[in-house]
Amino acid sequence: MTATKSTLIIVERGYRGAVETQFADVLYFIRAIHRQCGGADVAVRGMAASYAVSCDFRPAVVIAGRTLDTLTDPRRLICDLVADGVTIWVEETDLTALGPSARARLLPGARCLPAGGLVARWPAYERVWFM
Amino acid sequence: MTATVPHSDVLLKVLGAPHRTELITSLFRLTEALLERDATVQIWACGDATGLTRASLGMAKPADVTDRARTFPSTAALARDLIRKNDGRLRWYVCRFCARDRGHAEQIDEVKTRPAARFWEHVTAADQMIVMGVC
Amino acid sequence: MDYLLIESGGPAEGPGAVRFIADATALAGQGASVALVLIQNGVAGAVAGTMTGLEDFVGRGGQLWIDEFSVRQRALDRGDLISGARVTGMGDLADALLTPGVRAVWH
Repeated sequence: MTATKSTLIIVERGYRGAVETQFADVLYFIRAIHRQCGGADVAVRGMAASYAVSCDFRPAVVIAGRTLDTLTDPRRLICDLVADGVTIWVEETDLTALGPSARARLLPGARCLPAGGLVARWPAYERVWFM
Repeated sequence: MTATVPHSDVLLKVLGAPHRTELITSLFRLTEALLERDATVQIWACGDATGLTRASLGMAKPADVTDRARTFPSTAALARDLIRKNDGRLRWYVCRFCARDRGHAEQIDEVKTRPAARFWEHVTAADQMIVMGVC
Repeated sequence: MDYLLIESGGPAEGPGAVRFIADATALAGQGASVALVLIQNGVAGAVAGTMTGLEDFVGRGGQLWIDEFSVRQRALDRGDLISGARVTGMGDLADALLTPGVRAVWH
């Protein structure tokens, strides 16, 4: 298997603080890393796999009269990463855990792997990070 | 772009928060072990880990009211000591964005803040790197 | 050594730790030389019978290292830990990290 990207970044932990984080989500920084290093791919698993599943919900909260509608939007960030040329990997088992409809709602550009398919690709990357 | 980051044997990128797990203990243990082996080490702190070396921590923890005669070093003091005692073999960097985002913009003198956009220069300046913890 | 994998969360981390150990096992099964280090709460997984995936890992030729400091800090008894593991110190981890060509992954 030939290497196409230098770095595989695995995101497992999802929903880390929409109010305090807002735009500065881990995916935002991964996008910057991809631009700096010339090639990163992202795998989302566990609860973070839901970042690659589309939905209509645009979360906002009202705090002291302010409508805070700049909460973290991971799906938009996933789309931005795809537009930048990042491959988004998701394993089938993670989609199954999100319910029967999740597979059909996978965002464009996200690629589904069978169980164990991600680790089979580790040797193709120079480095593997959990972020 | 001219490289401005000195070469190091290892880059430790640390992201996790203090006071949650033993991640920071492991960071100090690993750094010490690497330095004992005469390795050159960079630490790049992101996220809540930028608080380890913030100036407002001071050099000592708050007093133990049951034993006021004793002082206990803060993580900033421990970092400072490691940096000072290792003849330039340990360089500690803090992500400027994360530090500001968490109110840690003021750092101890021994630490350098760096723009997030320059992070990859640090990666390419190291022979080996490991990412410890998540934000 | 091809991979130095470090598991810091252990059973308390739930599925994430199980999965990381499965990754280590898969890499060993692919023929890679893999050292899996249990550190911090990860050492709790080394109590015999707790994380059976570790036995698979060792069975596939993986090297299982258990951080002594973490074991002692948690009052675990070495006699209660999975067999086939090597009890190590941070110096061993540092040596591995300084070995050229090793890919280090912390979970």
